[in-house]
Amino acid sequence: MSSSQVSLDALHAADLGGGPVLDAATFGALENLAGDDEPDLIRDLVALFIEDSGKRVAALERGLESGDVGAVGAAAHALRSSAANVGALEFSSACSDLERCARSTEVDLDELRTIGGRTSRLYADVIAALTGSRS
Amino acid sequence: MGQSIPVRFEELKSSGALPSPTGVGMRILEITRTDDYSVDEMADAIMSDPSLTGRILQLANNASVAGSESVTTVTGAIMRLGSSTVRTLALAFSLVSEREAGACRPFDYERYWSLSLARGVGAQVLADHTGVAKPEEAYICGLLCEVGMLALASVHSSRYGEILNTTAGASFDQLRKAEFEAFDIDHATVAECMLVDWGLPSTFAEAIGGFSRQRRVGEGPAPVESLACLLRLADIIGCALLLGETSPARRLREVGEQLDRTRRVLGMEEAQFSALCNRVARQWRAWGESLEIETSEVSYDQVKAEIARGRDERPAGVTPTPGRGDVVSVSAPASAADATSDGQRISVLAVDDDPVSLRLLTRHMRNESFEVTMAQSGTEGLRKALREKPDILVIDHEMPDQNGLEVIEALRRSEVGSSMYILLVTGNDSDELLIKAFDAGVDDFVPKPFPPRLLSARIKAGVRIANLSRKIERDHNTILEKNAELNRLNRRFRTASLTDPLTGLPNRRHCMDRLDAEWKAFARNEAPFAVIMLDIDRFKAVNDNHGHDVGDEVLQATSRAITGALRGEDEAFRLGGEEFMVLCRNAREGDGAMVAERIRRAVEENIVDSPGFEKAVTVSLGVAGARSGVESLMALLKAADEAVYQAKNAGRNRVQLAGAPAPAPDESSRTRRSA
Repeated sequence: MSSSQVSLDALHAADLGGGPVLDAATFGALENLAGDDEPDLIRDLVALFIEDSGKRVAALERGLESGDVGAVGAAAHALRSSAANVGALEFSSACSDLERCARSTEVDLDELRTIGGRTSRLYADVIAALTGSRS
Repeated sequence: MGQSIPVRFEELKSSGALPSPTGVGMRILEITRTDDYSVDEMADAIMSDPSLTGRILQLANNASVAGSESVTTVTGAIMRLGSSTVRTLALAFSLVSEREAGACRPFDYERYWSLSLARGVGAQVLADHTGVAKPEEAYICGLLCEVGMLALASVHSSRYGEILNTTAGASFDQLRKAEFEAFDIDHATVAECMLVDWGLPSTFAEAIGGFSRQRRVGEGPAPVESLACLLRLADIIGCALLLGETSPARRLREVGEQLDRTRRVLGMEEAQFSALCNRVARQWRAWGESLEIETSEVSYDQVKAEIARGRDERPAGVTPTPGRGDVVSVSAPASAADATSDGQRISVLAVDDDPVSLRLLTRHMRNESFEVTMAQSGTEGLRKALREKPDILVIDHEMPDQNGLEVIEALRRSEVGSSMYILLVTGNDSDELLIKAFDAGVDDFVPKPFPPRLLSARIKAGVRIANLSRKIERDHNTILEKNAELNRLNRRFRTASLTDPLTGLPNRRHCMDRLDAEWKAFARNEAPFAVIMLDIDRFKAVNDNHGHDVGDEVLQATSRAITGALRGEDEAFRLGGEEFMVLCRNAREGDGAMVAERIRRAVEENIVDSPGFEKAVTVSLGVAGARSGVESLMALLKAADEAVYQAKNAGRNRVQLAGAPAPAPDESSRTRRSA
């Protein structure tokens, strides 16, 4: 996925129901940070997120299928902070729940899969919002 | 080697900053200096250092023959590898393990060790091939060829850095000249002195001196007849292995030509030479792994391909400069260009496996105009931190290969990492993790995802501390340099206070020191010595009739005539006025009399060439030997003085032995000639 496919207009307009998928305040802060001398910062961040998160979500889904709790926890942890960085707060908080569940002393696999399913759906929304296409 | 130069070496040494083998290395050198050391003794010394033990065992097992059992003891390793190999290894390891500190920014430490290792291995393979030297000796020499440069970079870090920057691209001869102007000593001599100081054979120092002073390889096939010559060839092979994608075309052409020349000197076909170079490359890699020195996966064909690329890039119409096999290469001057008014920019290393966080982090830090490098895993982060020595490390905790705390713990154990400012970034801010983090040596932490302003504020706090510790380090280096400088001055003052400025001879004070020492040795073990006291005849008349300028010239000419007549163990002093003294070591009174007679004749035949005074002067000499019956040094000197008096009375221009009957005046023809 190259950065040219990221639609910045869509980032602001994104409202896919059930709360904003992407947090406008985060993007405001990122735009401030980018300033005039690094106009490509947001594009870069989004492109990096899309590329990196794709691999991690795939690992997460494989982990859920095979019941590899450790892999699920690690992927959820990594996704949690990188998602928050690009303003995908709801997805980030789902990853946070998933991480906590995967790392609890006695893992409830059913609950893990339920949260995992929600996480995957939210992820699809995030990607759609970031790339400006509807899933 | 000039006589005054080792003095400069002593000054470098007294700064305490010279690289040297660690305790074990020195101990092994001592043990093996004699021929009759036992394997157990050496094994004990090696085992006092666990990491050295590990590396030796590893190598012994690498060398193991198929089917043989693995070696588990140092003694076993010595049996398998041979004690001379183990000794060499131990020395090399202990030198290399001291390699961390690197205050001289323009000196490329990493390249230094990588090239030294390649050169060492190259020399070993070439020695094996040509039979010019023992392979393990060639290996040590190759490894230590440029240790003089490392030493100057360690002791005079900032001044040597300036020299390296201004001579970048110049020849090694020009570098040595600049070193000499700044420090009164060059890296060739420093290397020779260090090797001698470590008790390595003098042939090593000679070979390295020869290599450092003449790095060019001759044209055409010629027998490789000396170790120095072998080192030159090994250096070229080493330089070739270090070529890479980033080498400029000019460098590729230079090394390419030298490599061809090396092949011709060795009289080898392309295929044979290729096999030899590949052998060097393989061993370089294997050694690099066990010594933790950076190497690369490179083959002779790849090197040739790079060189061919360099030829293609040659600008049209430009012919290559022939055979500049002697060009100084230092790290790219880019680091110097980054320097700001206060010295250097703050450098930050950011380590995070999440590319989004990493990109954000670097953005934050570029806003503060830091110099930022990145690493995407714990292992890569640790490697870069050790190599690049950033002022500030910002590191994520949770990473798959090696987590942040493990990296921090490893860093804090190293010398480089002990003063680094470390900021932990973590998405998990449980008290438990934070307590563990501070225990591991974290200076501060930032929660993740990071609130941007908080991150900047915390990094600024880090900068204050990094600046402070850099200042401390700078002060420390300045102190070391000042110390070396001070020692040099002290030495000059002392030399001045012990030397007679007119004649350059040691003065009365120096004379009394020497005589005291000699008398004590005589009192202890009756080591005989004799003193000759002498006085220029009718010197007052010279001054009165011809002036003091002529008088000074007479004194200078006489002192030259005296020193020219001495034996190797004798030493002449000017006591003051027209009085001189000669100390004859290992001499009885009779030997002293022979020396005195030689001096008498030399002075008598020495025409002083001064306008208006073109003739010789004469001297009267008294000789006294330290022997039983002479009660004290004072008594000895008094006897010599009285003998001079007798010689004067007997008509001058003659030698008089103390205690011998005074000759009657005018008994010899000599007196008539004395005016």
